Amino acid sequence: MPSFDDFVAARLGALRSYAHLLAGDEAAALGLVDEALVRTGLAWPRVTKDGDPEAYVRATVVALYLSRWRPRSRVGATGADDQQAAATRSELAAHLRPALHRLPRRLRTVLVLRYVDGLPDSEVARLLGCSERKVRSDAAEAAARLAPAT
Amino acid sequence: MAPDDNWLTAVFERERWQLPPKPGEVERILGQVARRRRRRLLLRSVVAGLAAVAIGAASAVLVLRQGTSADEGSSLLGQPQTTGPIPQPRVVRVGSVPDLTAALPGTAVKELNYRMAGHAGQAGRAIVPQGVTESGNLLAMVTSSGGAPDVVELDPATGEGRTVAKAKLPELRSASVFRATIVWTETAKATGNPDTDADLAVVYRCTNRGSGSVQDLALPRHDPAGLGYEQGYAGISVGSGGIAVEMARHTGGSGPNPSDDFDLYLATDCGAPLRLIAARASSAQFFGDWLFYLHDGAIWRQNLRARSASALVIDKAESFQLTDDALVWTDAVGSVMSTLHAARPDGGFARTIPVPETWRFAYASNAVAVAGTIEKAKGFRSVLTGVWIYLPSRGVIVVFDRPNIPIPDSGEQPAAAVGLGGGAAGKHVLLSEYGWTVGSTVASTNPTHEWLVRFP
Repeated sequence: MPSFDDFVAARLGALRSYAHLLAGDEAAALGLVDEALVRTGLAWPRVTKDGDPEAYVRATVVALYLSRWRPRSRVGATGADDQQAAATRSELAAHLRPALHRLPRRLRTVLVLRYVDGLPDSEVARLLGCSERKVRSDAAEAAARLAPAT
Repeated sequence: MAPDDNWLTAVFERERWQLPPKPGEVERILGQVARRRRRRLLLRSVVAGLAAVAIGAASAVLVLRQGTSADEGSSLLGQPQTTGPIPQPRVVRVGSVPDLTAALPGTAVKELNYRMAGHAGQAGRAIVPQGVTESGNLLAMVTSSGGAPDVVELDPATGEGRTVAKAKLPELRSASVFRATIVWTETAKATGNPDTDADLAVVYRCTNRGSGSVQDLALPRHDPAGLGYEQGYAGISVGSGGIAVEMARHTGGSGPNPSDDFDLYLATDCGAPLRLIAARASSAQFFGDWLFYLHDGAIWRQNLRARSASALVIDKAESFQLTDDALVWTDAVGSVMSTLHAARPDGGFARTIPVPETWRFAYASNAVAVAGTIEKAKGFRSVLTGVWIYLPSRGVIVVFDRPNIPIPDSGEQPAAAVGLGGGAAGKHVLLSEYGWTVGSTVASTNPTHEWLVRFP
């Protein structure tokens, strides 16, 4: 199992990408990941015991996001980062992302958990504290709302 | 028509991107983890956190303002229960501490206003108690007529003080008592900022009221394998089994940098040697003949009298507190959104209690209650907005909260809020009203009000 230091160095970029899909802007994504990593670092022995640190951080990011946790505004956090990130986006930036970010938080989270994390509906339901049927109906509604944008 | 699953999966997959960290960002996050860990370790023993201890001038004149008296009468409280199911708690919101007597009949609230005499008869700075005994006496640092600091035990009813020990260092970080044994931590002058206070000189001491002799606790310098311990972040508790000391290993690097990796030591009495009782264990608490502790993400207990093997009590827990009739703990199932749980001390009759994410599980409990703070987060900073106090067997959670307190910008003082004071024991808990910010930028103020609360 890697040390927490190694884990942060290796996965910080990917985790920010993940948070960005949820939060929709760079500053919020940076704040979410920072807070999630700090909490993960404090619980590292237990997190590694459970086996999948990245899943833990992602679950924490989702929980913080759904709890409407607000990061402190970060001066200068968006400019250069946004430009760099923008260069890596194409289809999603042009078509899907704007529609994705018009979705309610819960629907957006269902899509990210389903299609980015690849979680089964049972796991999505457990994370969100709802039934699998609710997950499926939320996913269908979210996909339908995205359809006009595609 | 809705897009099919494969199409959506493919789009998200193509759009995965990584934003490489800028130079120093990984180190900044690791630094935040270290700072928050240090703060948590301090809170473990301080309870009152970072409030500065005020020491006044010579010739103490203790002024005690009597607070609201107990009010017996009809009650929102259920009858105390020590066995059987834990009742579903109701939340009672209280606007001010004196209002507790109406909200929880039988509760006694005493406002404390101890001050040292200053020059020319003027009132000096307030004495801030950093510990409370089971009977409600206060433990604090005061300056004697000779100018040297003393650790004293004050009777709040009479205002009279008894010297426990001549202090070696000028501030009292924390003190706790079990029957005849008093343990306390003295430090050099603190600024209230955990970053700059990280390497304060610290001494851990104890005394037995019977003998009156004062001992310095000789803490182990390293674990059996030779890995060094952080001397300034030892957690000390006293109870029916003796004095428990948990030592945090150094995580490496220069300067104080404690890890979450603890070993648990026990001394049977003040002056007795410390012996390793559980490796990779922390949060020691006594319950009769039992020693409870955290190990490997679970709560364990060991019968000290029978010298039995440790037994699992709760298999997933992040922190816990014990009252005389309940075990209260938090876990982190699925995420870090802690949920509060309560059970009888053997783990039976467990109950889950959903709580807001703003609630923090603190290291404070007495015979009947567990208490924690409520904090409003703003990035790496958070501001104390209130306190919750859970009386498990009475089925009540008391909440003092001022959630509309504005989060101050750097350098500004937050508005006052009720928080935990310097200790809890018996049926007593100390509450303070003061404003502070915590986290990477810390500014603390002295308490503006102090109360000694005794629950029925």
